[in-house]
Amino acid sequence: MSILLEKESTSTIPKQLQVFSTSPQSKDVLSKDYRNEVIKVARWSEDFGFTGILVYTDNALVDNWSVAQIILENTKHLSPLIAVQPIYMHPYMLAKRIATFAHIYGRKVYLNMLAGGFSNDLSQLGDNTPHDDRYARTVEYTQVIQGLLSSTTPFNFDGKFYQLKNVKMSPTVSPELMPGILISGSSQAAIQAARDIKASLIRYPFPAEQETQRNEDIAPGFRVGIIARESAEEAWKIAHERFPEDRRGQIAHQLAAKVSDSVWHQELTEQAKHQPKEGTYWLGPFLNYQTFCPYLVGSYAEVADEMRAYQRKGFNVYIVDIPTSFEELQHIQRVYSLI
Amino acid sequence: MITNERIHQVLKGVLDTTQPLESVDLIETGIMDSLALVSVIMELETAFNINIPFEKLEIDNFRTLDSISQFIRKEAQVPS
Repeated sequence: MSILLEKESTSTIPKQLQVFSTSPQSKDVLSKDYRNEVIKVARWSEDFGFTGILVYTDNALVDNWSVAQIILENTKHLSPLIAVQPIYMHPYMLAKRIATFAHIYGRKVYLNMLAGGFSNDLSQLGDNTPHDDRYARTVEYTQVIQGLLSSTTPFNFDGKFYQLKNVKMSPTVSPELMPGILISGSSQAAIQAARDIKASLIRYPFPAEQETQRNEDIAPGFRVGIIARESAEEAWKIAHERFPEDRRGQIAHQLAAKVSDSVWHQELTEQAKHQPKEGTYWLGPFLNYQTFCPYLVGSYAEVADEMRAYQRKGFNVYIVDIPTSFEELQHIQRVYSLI
Repeated sequence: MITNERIHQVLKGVLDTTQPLESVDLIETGIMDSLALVSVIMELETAFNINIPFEKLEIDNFRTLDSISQFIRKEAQVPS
């Protein structure tokens, strides 16, 4: 990729949308290359006017707060969207990290609050909390963070999962640097949690025509991949090359589907059984365990049509899958220029 | 020929462990995580020339050497 190309980028993302990209995962990149890969994708995302960049967390990955710090140190405006698994650390420590980032970098971060995750990850850490209780815990966790960061007096919290007494957060965080809150999930418990903590509810979408604006008091968003080219044929060719059918992945998907208590996993698996081959909506990567999100594949105009249809249903927050190259983001930008 | 010894060989080839594999729950003990389980299934399919239908991929079939042996025999339609 040329330096000239990198200078050609200007944002075409409509102002009313919040678009996040996704940072590469440490398990997919050689250790010696990982830091540079993170910086590269973060800078591309900033060049394209994205709001931020999602940094995953699970037991198999490096600590995502360290990755967020790399992003903050190597970009000017981009906000890390940091996935938060409540069982990994006490909410006081998490609030302290947000306050520390605000103090050192003067930059807002976003939090992607999780209640699920890989069931093995949770059970290995001794956490067998049932699905709906995990959402209740995530709500409390978020309320503690919000309370610690916004309270001007010593903070108290007496919940089912967390209790704090007369805690004062230092350094303080100015209101404009308070974290943006997103929460992932599809279940009723997730919807209620989003409502309780006033978060954008992020999930994996169905085709736009099947989507209804079900919860008007919640800002909905979704995570999706995009492969768009001049012609649909070209886009699908690239899609199948990038995500070929793979027996190993299909076995992994089937096993995951059987042990997952995540509503979204069951919903997408069911969707895949009835999904027609025509159209832009594609679950191939999900079924082959290559990525969890659906993909929109087609010509720039077709994918832009689908995105517009989502927007009409109220979706204004998007997390796009890990970009494979700067050029790929340019193609995605062409789609946004048509919205 | 599907024998416990051959299945043991397949498991040994995939699982990075020095622990004995007999008479233990491979998943419960953490000897076989989800990634290793996928590799074990792939290796079993290759070793015994079978294609396990997705609807039969139940974790419980792969918990112990005996349950794997029993399941693979059934899939290959070999009397135990």
